[in-house]
This record gives sequence, C-alpha cells and structure tokens, in this order.
Amino acid sequence: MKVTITEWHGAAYWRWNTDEDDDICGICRHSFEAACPDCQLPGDNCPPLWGECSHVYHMHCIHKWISQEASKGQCPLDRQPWEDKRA
Amino acid sequence: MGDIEATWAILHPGVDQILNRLLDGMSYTNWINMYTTVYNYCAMGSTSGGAEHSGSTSTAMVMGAQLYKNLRSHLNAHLNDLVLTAQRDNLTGVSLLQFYTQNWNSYTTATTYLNHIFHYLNRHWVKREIDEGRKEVYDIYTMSLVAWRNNLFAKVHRPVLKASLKLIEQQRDHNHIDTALIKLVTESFVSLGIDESMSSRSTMDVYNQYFDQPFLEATRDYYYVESRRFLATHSVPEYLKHIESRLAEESARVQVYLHPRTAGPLIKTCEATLIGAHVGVLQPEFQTLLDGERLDDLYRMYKILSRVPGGLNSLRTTFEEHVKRQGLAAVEKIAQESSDAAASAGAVDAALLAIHRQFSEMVQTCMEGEPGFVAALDKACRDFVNRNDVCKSGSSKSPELLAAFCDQMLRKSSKTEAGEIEETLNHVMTVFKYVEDKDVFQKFYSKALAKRLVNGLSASDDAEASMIAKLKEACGFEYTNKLQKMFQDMGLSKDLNDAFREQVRQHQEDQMTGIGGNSDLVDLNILVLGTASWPFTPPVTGFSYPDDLVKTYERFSRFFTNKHSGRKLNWLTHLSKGDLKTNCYKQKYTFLVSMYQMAVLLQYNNGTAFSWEELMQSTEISPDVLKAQIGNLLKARVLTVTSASLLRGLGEPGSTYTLNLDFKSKKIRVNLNMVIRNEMRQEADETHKHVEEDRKHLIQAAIVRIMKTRRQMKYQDLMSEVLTQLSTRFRPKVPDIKKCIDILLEKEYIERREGEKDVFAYVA
Ligand SMILES: [Zn+2]
Ligand SMILES: [Zn+2]
Ligand SMILES: [Zn+2]
Repeated sequence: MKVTITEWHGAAYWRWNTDEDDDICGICRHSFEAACPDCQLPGDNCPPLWGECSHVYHMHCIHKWISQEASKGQCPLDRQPWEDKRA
Repeated sequence: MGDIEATWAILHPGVDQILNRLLDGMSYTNWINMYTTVYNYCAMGSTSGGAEHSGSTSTAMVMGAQLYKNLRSHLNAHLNDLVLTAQRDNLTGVSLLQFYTQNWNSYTTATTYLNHIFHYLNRHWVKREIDEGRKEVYDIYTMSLVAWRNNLFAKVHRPVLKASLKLIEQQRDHNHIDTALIKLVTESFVSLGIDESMSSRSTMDVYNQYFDQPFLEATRDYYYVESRRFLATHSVPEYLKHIESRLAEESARVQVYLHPRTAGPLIKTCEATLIGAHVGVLQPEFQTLLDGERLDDLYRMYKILSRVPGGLNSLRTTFEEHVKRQGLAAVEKIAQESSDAAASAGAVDAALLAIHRQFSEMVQTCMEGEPGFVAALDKACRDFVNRNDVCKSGSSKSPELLAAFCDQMLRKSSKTEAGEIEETLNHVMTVFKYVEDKDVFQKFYSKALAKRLVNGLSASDDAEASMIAKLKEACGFEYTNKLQKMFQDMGLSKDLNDAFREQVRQHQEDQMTGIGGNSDLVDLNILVLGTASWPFTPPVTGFSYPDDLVKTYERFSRFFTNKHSGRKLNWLTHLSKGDLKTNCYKQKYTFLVSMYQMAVLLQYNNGTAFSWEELMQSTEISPDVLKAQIGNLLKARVLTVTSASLLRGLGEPGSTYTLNLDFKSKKIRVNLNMVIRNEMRQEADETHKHVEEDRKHLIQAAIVRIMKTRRQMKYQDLMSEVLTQLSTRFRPKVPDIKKCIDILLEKEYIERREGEKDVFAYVA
C-alpha cells in the first residue's frame, strides 16, 4: 500500500426523508426543510409526521388539525382516520 | 390754631439745615421739636375745622395740604439752586458726574430724614389724599424724588448720560475709571422710575429710556467699529479669543454697575455685533482649524458660533465633508499600497475605525456632543463606509470586507490575544453600525463562520459567541438565529460521532469473542448539518467512494438512519477531507487532502500511472473539479505528467498522470488541499447573487405583509413603507420594488384599483 487513510473528516446535510417532488406540507404549504408557521427555526423541533395513510405533514400542523373538532380526527387529504405511522 | 406761617417758621431752619448742612448734626431737642410741630399742625385740624381741606366729605379733619406745598416748594427751590450752580460752573464729564452723584447721595439722605420728621403728615393727610384717589400726592420721600426728577434730572440727564457713556467707552478702551460714579447714576435713574398712578410701585421707564437704550446703542456703535478694526489686523483664532474676553468683560460690567436686566440685551447686542455680523468671515476658517487639528480653537469657534442663530449650520456641513474626505483618503491610501484583498480588508476597517474614533472624540470634546454634529459624523461615516475607493463596486463591498476582517480575527491563525480580539470586535461593531447592506454582511459572515466551524479553524468559542451576541443585540434574534443554529449542529454532530464510536467499540468487543476484528473502519469525524442554517450548496460533481472508505461510509449512513428515522443524509463531498499516510517514499509523510484528492491518490495503490479517462471513470468526479484537484497535486509534484501529456494539456483525453516516487518535502505534514483563488472570487460573486435573490423575496414578503394589513394603498405610500420596513437590513432600490410589485400583480396577490390611478388593493 503506497498510501493509507488515517483520518476522514466528512460532512453531510440531513434532510427529511420525504419524496423529492412532494416535500411540501399539505396543511401549511411550507417545505419540510422550513419550519411550520408556528415555529421560528426548522430542524429537530419541527419534524414531519407520517400517517398510516402515507400522507405526511408537519407534526405541529397535523396535531393542530386533529385537535379541531371539525377534523373528526381524519387526514385532511383522504378523510381516513389519522394514525401515526408505526416505525 | 393751624397757623401755617408760624408752623413753617419753626420748621424752615431745620429743613434747610437737613438739606444743606446735615453733617453739622442736629440736636435731639431740635429733632423732637420739628416732629412735634408737624404733629401739632396736622392734628390741630381736627379741632379747628377743615377749612384747608377741599372737596372732602370726611368728618375726620386732618390739616396738611399747605404744609405739603410749602415743603415741596422748598425742595424745588433747593434743586433749582443746584442746577444753577452746575450751569454756572459749566460742569461736564467726570466733574458733572461727581456733582450729580454727591448731590444725589446727600439729597436722598436728607429726604429720608424729612420723611421721618413728616411722618405724621404721611400717616394721615397724605394717606387719605391717596386713598381718595388724588393724583400727584405722594409720601414725602417719593415727593422728594419726583421733585428731583422734575427739577434737576429733567435739566441734566442728557449731559449726565453723555458723561457716563464716555466713561464706559474709556473703560472699554482699557482705561481705569471710577465705576462708583456710574453705579450711582444708574441706581438714581432706577429710583426715579415712579409709577404716577401708584406711587408705591416703581417702573423701569426712566432707566430704560434715559440710560439702557442709549447705552445699548453706544455698545453697538462701539463694537461695530472695534470688531472691524481688530479683524483687520488679527487672525480669526485671535479674534475668537477676543470675543471671548469681550463677552466676559461685558458680563462683569453688568455685575459692577448696571441693572441686572441689562445683562440679556447687552449680551445679545454684543453677540450680534461681534459674532453675527462676522459669521461670513468666521465660518470659512473652521476648515483651517480642522486641517490643523486645533482642538482649542475648534472648541472656541463652536462655543462662539453656537451663540448666534444658524451660526453652526455651515460648520456642521464643513465637518461632515471633512470627515468624509478624511475617511476616503485613508481608504484610498490603503487601496494604493496593497492589492491583496484579504490584507486590505483589515487595513480598511482599521482605518475607518481610527477615523471614526478621532472624530467622535472631537465631537465630544470640541462640540460638547452637540446632536447636530453627532448626526453629521454619522452621516459622513455612513457615506465613507459604504462608498469608498476599495468599495467602488457599490455599498455591498464594504460589508464583505468587514466580514472578511472578522474572519481574520476569529481564525486560529490570528495572533491576536483574547482581550484584543474582544476590543477589535467592539470596534467592528462601530463600523457595522454604519453599514447599509447588513444583509450582505450576514451572508458573508455566515459563510466564513461555517468554514471556520467545518474546518475546525475557530480560535475560540467564547469569541465566536461574543460576536454573535453583539450582532444579535444590534440586529435582533432573526439576524443571528442561523449562526446560533450552526453552533448547535456542531454540538449535535459531536454527540452523534461519540455515539457512533461507542457503537463500533461495542461491536468490536462482541466480535473479539467471535471471528476477526473491525480494523477496516477508518477513524472518522462526520459533521451532520441542518440544511436550513448552513450556507453551503450541494456538490457540483458526482463521486464514487473509494474501496477503503466505502465500508466506513456505509456503516455511518446506516447508523444515522437507524438513529433518526425519517431522515436521510446528503453527503457534501466537496467539504470532506482527510489525512493520508505515505509508505512509498523514504520519508513517511502525512498528506492533508480533499476527499477528491484522496480518491485519486488511492488509485495509485494499484499502479503508478493512470490516464485521464481512467481517473475519471474510477472516481466519477466531474472534469472541471478533477482538473482543479489534479492541478494542485501536480503543483505539489505529488503527481507528474509526461511532456507529451503536457502538450495535450491538463485533462485532455489520453494525458497520463504518474505518481512521483521521488517526492520530497521539508515538512512532514503536507497540505495539498489548497483553496483555489478563482473559486474564492467565484464564491464571493455567488454570495452577492444570493443576496440579490434574497432581497427580491424580502421585498415581496414586505409588500404582501403591508398590503395584507392596509388592504389598499397608494403607490407612493406603499413604496415608502417598504423602504422604511427594510431599511434596517439594506436599502432597497426603487426599480427593484417596482419589479416586485409587477411580479405580485402578475401572481395576483395584489391588483390595481379600477378607475383610480396608482392605487393597489390586496387580493384575499
Ligand atoms: Zn405544515
Ligand atoms: Zn413547527
Ligand atoms: Zn392521508
């Protein structure tokens, strides 16, 4: 071996694992890489939340929606009962 | 029996003595005798009927009118005699003043005594006459003053005034004079101000008319001539000192011998004549004083010109222009001396700071921190900070340089002490205050900070935190939240790496009991950054991980996705780097390389020469990037090319790159990962472009925000509201705002009101 690696200083971004062409929250229309309207900063505190129906929203947005009586606890896009997707 | 003849016969010698020979003294018996005589005369009226009293319906009869008249006639005669004496002796000048004041003294003393002796007359007859509204009856003392005024003052006030003014003029010419004379004259003039309708009240009429006004006129005349004569033979700074001492003299004059109410008008008159009339000569000299940095004279000029209305206006303008010129000159000097942008960044800021410090001190000490001068200084600083020789390209260059200067200060290589760094950062904030394009500073600062953090080049966390705190204080939370987030990410990355290493160690222990080790994992440190806060762009090239790294890379990626479900990693290969240990030379070296160079060099474990195509294929790096990376390796003579390849040119098909086995270096650690100059300039240009794009968004957002609350707005109002809302970050250009309005019209966020010119409405 003429040369060997002794150290590696890598760098990477992390982003939410949402579809590239569907990375907008269906409730607030903000990108998941940006925060929901109630949050100042994007990141760990304002994550997306996947439902069993496979739709995804900002956690804060869907929780706010579900807490309204008019929502009947349904996903706003397909009217199925909302359930957090099990990991 | 109220016999006036007999009464006056008794009183007359006494009155005469009191008036003319008071110093001879008067016996107590005499005194009592006079007093009693007055009493007897007045009191007798009540028994013998009020024949003397005219027009009164009162039953209580008090005699007095005849006695009052006799005394008055006697005083009048006495005063007329005095006037005749003065005229006979042809008194003028000081001797007239002496005559006037000596007689005034003895006369008022005498009439004070008479006032006592005629006490009973005052108490009864005079009082009743006054109560009943009779004009021209006064208590005896006042009557004596009226007599003085009508008989003596009326005939001599003109020559007395003339003599007094002459004396004052002599004093102004710095001759010694007897100030007591003038003091008595002015006091007597004040005393003679008797309100005819109410004798107990005095007025200033006599003093004003017969002394004050002529005195002020004489003052004006005197200084009109004097100031011109002085200026003809002296410099302006000398004249300023002269004014200072003249004003002090005049204030003292009031104290010594004038009525206090003269002070205001006198100083006003002097100011108008000494200063106001010469503003046109004084103001231009301000520039000379600034040029000579003559602080005492500057202060004097400030103080003196602040006394007249508008006196400072042109000074402020001159000052502003001067500071601006000095600032520009300082920057120009640096621009000529150095062509190196990075070096000049520090020099420019240091120069700007020095100028700011010099002149803000001047404003404090020479202009007493007067708000107009503070504003002029601010305006000048804003001007030269944003528009100077180094920053010809526009106001956005200055914040770029300032951010570069901060970067120099906060980098590990900086030789500055911690305390010094803090002081310098404080100074940076002084300049920052004047920067118009604060958004440009933010962009460049965050880029530089990101690089310091990613490359481990930050000199101290404390200094970094302190600078961010300062920016936050100046511009608010929003301005710095991304900067703060970067620090958080650094902390999170560290935790993540620790957890990863722990997991690997655990795994190795488990494996020890089983088969083999885990030595094919590379020692690593991975930064995992949140997308939104970091100003990095994704890599412009593809990349294939070399075999030596791929296992580590996959292991870490897996570890991350397991730990954080719902997230994925996007690798920033252009920010990655590493260390390579060499085994192929006599000397063992450590190469500090970019990840791309690492991939290239690792190829040479399987051969000594590779063609351009082979290298491209194995690393999957794009041609432009590969060209630059190999360029650095060639420059360092780690790789060589044959002359045939050289002819084809770097990166041409068929060119071949050979590992130079004769490589030598004095240093054991060899940095091959040099930043390429071109890239730096390109990056700066891109940053400026980003700022432009961000601004479009900010302007549009501001328009929508404003229209949403106001619903309907005139074009001009909207324009100015946008300008004010954004002015803390940058100065939007009017055409840019127009463009954004057009965009929003097109997107139908807003619409034009029908039938109304230039009125917009919000579309809900
Ligand atoms: Zn949302
Ligand atoms: Zn949120
Ligand atoms: Zn759904």
